[in-house]
Amino acid sequence: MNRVRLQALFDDAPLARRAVARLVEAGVPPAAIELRSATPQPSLPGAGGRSWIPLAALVGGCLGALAGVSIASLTALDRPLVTGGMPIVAPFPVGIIAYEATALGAILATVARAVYEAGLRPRRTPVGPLDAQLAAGGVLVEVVTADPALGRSCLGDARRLALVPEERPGS
Amino acid sequence: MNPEDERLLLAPVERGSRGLRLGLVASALAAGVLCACWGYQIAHDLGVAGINRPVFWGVYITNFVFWIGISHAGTLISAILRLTGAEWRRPVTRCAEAITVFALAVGGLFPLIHLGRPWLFYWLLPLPNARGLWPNFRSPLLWDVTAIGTYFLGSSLYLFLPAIPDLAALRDRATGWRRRVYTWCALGWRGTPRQWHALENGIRVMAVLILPVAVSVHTIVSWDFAMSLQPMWHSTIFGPYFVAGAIYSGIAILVAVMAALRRGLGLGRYISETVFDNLGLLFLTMALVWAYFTFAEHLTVWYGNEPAEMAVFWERVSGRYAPAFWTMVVLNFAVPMLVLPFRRGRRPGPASLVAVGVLLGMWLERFLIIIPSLANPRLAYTVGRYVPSGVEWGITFGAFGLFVFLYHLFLRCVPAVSLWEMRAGAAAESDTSLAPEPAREGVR
Repeated sequence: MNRVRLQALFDDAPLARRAVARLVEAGVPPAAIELRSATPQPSLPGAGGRSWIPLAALVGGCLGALAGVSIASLTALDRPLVTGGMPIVAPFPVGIIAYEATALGAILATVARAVYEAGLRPRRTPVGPLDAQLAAGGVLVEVVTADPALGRSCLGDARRLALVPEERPGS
Repeated sequence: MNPEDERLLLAPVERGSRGLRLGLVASALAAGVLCACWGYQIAHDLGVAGINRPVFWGVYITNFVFWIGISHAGTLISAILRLTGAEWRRPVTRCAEAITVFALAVGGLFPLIHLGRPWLFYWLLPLPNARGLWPNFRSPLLWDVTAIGTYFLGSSLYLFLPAIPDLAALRDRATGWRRRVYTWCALGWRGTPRQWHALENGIRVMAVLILPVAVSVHTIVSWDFAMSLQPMWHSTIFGPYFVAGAIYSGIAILVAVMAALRRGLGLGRYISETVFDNLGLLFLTMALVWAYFTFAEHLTVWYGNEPAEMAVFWERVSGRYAPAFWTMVVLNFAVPMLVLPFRRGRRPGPASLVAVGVLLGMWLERFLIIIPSLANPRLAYTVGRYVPSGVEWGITFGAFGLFVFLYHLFLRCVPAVSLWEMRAGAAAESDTSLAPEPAREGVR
């Protein structure tokens, strides 16, 4: 059966939320519905929830610290210089390198986790006819369905409605 | 924001302008001076620079410290404003973050230029050489590489992460090869609630992480000097002194760049006088902080009356370097104190003129920290002179050109003012009626 993508542009988040509720009540699986907006909309479904980014930063920082301490101390021990009684592994320099490596590890882990949580990856994303109009405000509800009539009946109060044959992601 | 606002903000990217094109060509020519002078130096060796015994660190290291300082305010200010939720940050953050990245790129060139043989730069990387020897992490120069590398990578990511929604907006509007490039850069951004949630969390955590890195970078640069016993370098307050100066010069370039963007791109509606008023107050505060540190640094040297240190002190205050010293005091302290306390003085025109003066003053400050100390070492029979050569001046001039060139390129690729943050600000102003409702599980 041919599936279509229905894009409906709503003026604000409450209208979009109500449309989503109607779609779900009509039997459209939630996974087939996608909401999009040009600004953060904390009141939309899926906008909250627990984030593991701070934990990722912590883990990344710990790994970075370990890497920093290792590289600064093991390289000193690898070719011990004559230090006149001073320690081969100098604590202050090791601390400085570990500090920067901690920050680096935490930053990289934060970005990696944020990209993962957002489901981002370099790919061609099909742009729908209403995507560029999001900038004017409003919320776009996209639903992939085999029954365009059902979608239309649930999205009837949208400011604009567009229907496109479904493209496979990455095609 | 209405469509006209969007068009105005996107105009430099989508259509460009005659002014931008001229700026790009002029700055490319100036950057060409850097390339030509550096090429000449590589061909004829480091002897074409004015550095010689005992002044082995000259204008190149002055420029290095200056540009790393310039890089300071961008990410730092952006992170502080984001974390405190200051509404006036919205038109500032992107401009500031870009300054950091490009200033670091320019500043990072100077150690390579100073090396004389830049192809041996990899000796500073944590890689063992042919004999299995690793770089010596006890050296402050290695600390520099680590700190600046971390800051550059972190600042680049901190610039990129909040730009993703705008790159996606450009993708949705662009055609042809530009669309393909923006598609790749936007990482498949669609603006779903889940993506916004992850992005905002990511930006918030990044803002927390980047602050200590920013402070550490210039502290570590100061330790290049403070770890030695050179007169007037071996100081415990060198770290905070350098950080204060760095933030001061960073705010100066931010004010200057924002005034140029406001005038050149007609962004007066977004980069408003309120923004300059707020930045001006910050600028004034940093002028006072900088003056305090400068006074404290010189006071302790004068009170200690140690002969080697006093030789440098008098060289700065009343000797060969006195004109530079007093010019610095006038530009960095007297002029800001006369102009910035007044609301009219914090308007874009006067504030940007003060900012240009402060940039010159801060360059002189870096010069005065480095050169007189090296020219007057503790062993009096090695006292020397240093006069920068034409090649060094050419490279210094070209560095400014390179910075402007990189910034122009950036303006042609990404909106100078963050579109989505401006939209969010406008929406927050106009709409207070959205009450959260229970989330429906499973909707993307």
